Amino acid sequence: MTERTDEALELELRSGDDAVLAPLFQRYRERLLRMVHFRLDPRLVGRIDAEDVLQDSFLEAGKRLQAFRDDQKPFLVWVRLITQQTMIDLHRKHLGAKMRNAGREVGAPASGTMSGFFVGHFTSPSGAVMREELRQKIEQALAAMDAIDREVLLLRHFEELSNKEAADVLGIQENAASNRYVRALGRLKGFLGDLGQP
Amino acid sequence: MTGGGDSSTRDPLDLLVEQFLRQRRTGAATDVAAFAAAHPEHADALRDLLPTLLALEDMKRDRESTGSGRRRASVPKLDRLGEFRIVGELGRGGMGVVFEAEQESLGRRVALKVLPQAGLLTGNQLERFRREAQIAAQLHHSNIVPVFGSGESDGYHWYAMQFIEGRSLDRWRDEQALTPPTGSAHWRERGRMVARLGQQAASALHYAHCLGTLHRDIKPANLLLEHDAETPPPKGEVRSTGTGLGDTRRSASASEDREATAASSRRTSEHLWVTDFGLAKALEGEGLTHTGDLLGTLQYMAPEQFAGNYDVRSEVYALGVTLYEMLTLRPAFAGSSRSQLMERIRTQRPDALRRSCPELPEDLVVVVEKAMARDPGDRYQDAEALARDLQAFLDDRPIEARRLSTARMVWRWCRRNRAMAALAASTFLAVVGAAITGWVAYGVAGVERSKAEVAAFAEGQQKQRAEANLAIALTAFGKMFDSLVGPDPALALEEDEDTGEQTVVVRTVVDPRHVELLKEMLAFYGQFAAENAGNQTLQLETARASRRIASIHARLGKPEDLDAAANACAEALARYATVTDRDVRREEAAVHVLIGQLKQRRLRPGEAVASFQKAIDLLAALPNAETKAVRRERAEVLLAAAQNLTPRGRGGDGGPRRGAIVSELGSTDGERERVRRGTELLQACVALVDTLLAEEPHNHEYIAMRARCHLLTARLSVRRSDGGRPRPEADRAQAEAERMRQARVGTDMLRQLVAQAPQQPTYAFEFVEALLETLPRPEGPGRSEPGPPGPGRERTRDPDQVATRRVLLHEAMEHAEALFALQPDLVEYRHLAARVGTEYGGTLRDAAAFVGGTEGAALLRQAESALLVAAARAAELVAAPPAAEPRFIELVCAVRRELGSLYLATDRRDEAVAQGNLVVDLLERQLETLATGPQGPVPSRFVRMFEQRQLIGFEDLVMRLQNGPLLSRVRALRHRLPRPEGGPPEDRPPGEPRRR
Repeated sequence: MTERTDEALELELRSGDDAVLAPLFQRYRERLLRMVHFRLDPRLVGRIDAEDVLQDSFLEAGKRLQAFRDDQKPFLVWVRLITQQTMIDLHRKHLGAKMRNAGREVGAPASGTMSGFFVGHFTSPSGAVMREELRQKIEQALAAMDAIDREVLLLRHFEELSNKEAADVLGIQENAASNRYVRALGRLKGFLGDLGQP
Repeated sequence: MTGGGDSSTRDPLDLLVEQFLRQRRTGAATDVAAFAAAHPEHADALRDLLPTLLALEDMKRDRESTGSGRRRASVPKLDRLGEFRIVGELGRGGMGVVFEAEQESLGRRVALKVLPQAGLLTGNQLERFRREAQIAAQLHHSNIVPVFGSGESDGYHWYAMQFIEGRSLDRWRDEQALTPPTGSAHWRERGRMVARLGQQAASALHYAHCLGTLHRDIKPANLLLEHDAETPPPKGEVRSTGTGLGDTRRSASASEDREATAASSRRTSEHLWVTDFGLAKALEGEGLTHTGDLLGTLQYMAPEQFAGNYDVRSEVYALGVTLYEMLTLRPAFAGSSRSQLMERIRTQRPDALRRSCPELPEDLVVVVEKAMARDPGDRYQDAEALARDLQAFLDDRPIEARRLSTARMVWRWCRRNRAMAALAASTFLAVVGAAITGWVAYGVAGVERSKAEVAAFAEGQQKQRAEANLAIALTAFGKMFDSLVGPDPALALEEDEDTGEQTVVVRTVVDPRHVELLKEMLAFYGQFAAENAGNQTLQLETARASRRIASIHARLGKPEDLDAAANACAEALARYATVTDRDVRREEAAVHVLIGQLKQRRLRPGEAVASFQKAIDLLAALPNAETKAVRRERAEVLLAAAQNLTPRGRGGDGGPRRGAIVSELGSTDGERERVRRGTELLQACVALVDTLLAEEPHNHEYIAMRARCHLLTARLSVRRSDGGRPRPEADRAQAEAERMRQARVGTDMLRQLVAQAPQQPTYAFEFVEALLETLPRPEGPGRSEPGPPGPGRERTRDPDQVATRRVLLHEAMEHAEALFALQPDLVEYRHLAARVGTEYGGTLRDAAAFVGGTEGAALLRQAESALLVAAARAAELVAAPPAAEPRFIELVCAVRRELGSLYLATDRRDEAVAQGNLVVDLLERQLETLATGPQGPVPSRFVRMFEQRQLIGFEDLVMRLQNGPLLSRVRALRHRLPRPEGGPPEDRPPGEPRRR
């Protein structure tokens, strides 16, 4: 079998070949996994497996193929939405009314999670010192950042989406997404720069 | 990965960055300078941005990788520091560098720990570092490395301590791994050695703990094993200080190490030193303690530390895990990532020592495993207790941990996981059985032996032990019983608004998973009672066994169980009668209460009251009837009796009922008699509670009882009437006002109680229930029982009423959520949270109707969220087969109906139809279960629920939906219902609610 491009598969899926969903989903698996991994509420880590989220999402996507064909959203955008919805459902289920406004909270990771992500971890006490200081700085910087800039940074960097994909997901122009990315990187530079040097 | 669209629209820098990242992510070598040089037009910007990018990448990877991201301290090679002449470097790591040095002024050899120079330490941290060093310098214990002092020289902060000739335990462990023990003698020697080390470490810790100092970083690397002064270390053997760095320089060859090991294993006087006291704390980030962040080395961290709790027991744990590692020569917990490791520590048990080292002495296994118990409450409560038991092991004396460990272990197991308890039961029953057999067997054999007068002393001990074992086993089993079955079920009598028919809801529902265990318990107690029927000494225990049998049957709840329960009660009474101890009368009274409840469940309130009365009389006749404890018990029984006579609901005031009254006292006269009797009992109860309160006005339990009295008075006030005849409007209004007044007083008392005793969830539970009872209800006759508005009764849209409901429900919501969060597995809490959520969502929907606009839309969204959450919870209540309780089904119907109406109101017709279908799905499923299940015919209550309450209210919605398929499903469903005795179901089109 010759290797078909993502676009070709997407086109086939749109034109009615349901069987293409599985291989196509498989190609986006890594990216979706990163998204789930990153956006899962910290309280649920250990209770929910990211793979399970994907499995549910895949089943759900299968049920809603018609919707994909009806509106012209790119596959990634569509499948991300489904995954997001799956996560919302799981959050609701597991966290109950602590997340009554689950829809708003899921997918926009709390800045605490986010800076924790950026900072990574150090086990030694002096590492802990650095981590804490860094965390505070990053939290400030992220808080000061424009919400879409921040989101572009997350999509491009942690979910490893391309610029076009990030732009599609956010519903903005590609050049705008691109400019925002560079801008966000510049913002972070100030306090991450010295860490980057080995 | 797909490429990036039209390049011309992109920031050129972005394109370069992307290219760089792609190279990096595919593993190609990436060099910032070279990459920048290759793109001269953007070189500056790239040099500026790319390091940030790399840092981000590293961090992302770091997060996934293991916890070994140790950073090297930036301390250069030094020749001297202040008055110290540096002899050599012993190791370096995140905390700094450790040097061997000579303090020239005193001519002594020291281990000098030097912190990195970097400005990472804030003034505050330095201050703490100095303070901790001072505190450590004040610890004088033969097993704590003495700290000589600390200071600052040439810009470096240092910390000087005695130089210990030897090596840290992690090194020792690595050496041991080269020569695994062979044979039980060798294992025994290893075990004794580890026990000796552990004993020294524990006593050092205890000493420090007594002075208020925690070590905070107990691990092998911080425990030093000194070479015996008489046995100099082999040539080349490293001198080490505890550095916490784990990689001290060494030059010894493996063979020399083995010699050293062999030498050390011959010695029995190893000396252990604990080092680095409090250093971890001194160096931790200022904010870390506040944010509950984690310290110490992950592998040795106690599970509670992840929740930010740390006390002496956490150090007992760390030492226990260290000893485990010294015995097995591998860490108790390992993981490939930090999060995995944490998860394992929190949720898993390390391999059982007995399996890893089958030849280890049994007692040592028990001691180490107790020290490292996951639950701090199960560990030694301080380091001294651990030291004592290790010493006892070394002295071949019986260890403390062993005595209770079996019963406690099983008990703990059950407490932690009730589902597991079912699996544990057989094991446990075997243990208890063995204890009893041992005891009884002893009694027989003892006679023979005492004739022979053999070892009278030892025998006395043995007898005591056998008795103690039996007592422990029975107590533990009793506790397990209580935990599993809870207190005797609270019964709530409910009255159907339309028919006056009463139903008893058993509030403590048996988890189906526990049924098997209960049956096993039943078998155990049954056997116990049968085998020991003639045993005078065990008479009381046998009576108790019968009582528990009754209790279990009462919970299992099938009709035949109720008979069995009654029989067991009678047996228990007969047995209690043979015991003269007066305390036993109280237990006997409890049996009468249980009988009363059984009668109540058979809807024989008259007989029930008689039984309650017997209990009351028994208690009142006690010589100690006026003690607080007995007065309280009397009040409780009185209250239970009064509640038994006073169903929730307001059957008496609503005008003529359609249905026949079926209960024993259900006639109009009966009703009047019942109210009179209930009032009498309640008054007696209030009198008792008031005397209790006069003595102890702040006793929470007394206040709670008083509040319950108010709430019951509220219920009685609307019943205190002339039975079934309609009341004049004014009369009714007055009664209603009185009801509200009493209910509010009771609710307010509970509210205060909840504030004062937030740790007591039952108060919060009662409070929320009381709040629901005081909610303003829509006009007209209505049940005070919270729940969906009844059929044909569209909610009133009185703005004031809606506002009041919203405030009260908001409060109820908070408490119900807290309860649910506390114990999500508890059916009653789940039910309560779902009920409150349903009411709350409905009320928000009503509120939205008054405001409109964006505010209204926001309210509707809130309402939807609340209802969705409630629906999810309610769904779980009915998810488990077999047939769900009717009140759960009703709740699901109610919440789905609310959701449906909400969707209908917001033009989301499809979703509304979906809710309708969900209800029909549930009802079909339930009907299926009921029809095919062993329960026999579909209970009439279920039929009525279809007929009157739920479906009609639901059909309003279905009708408004005008959805053909749904309509026909509802119609088909109704036709499948069995015909009630009153004739075939009226064949009226759905959606035409019965008018009355």
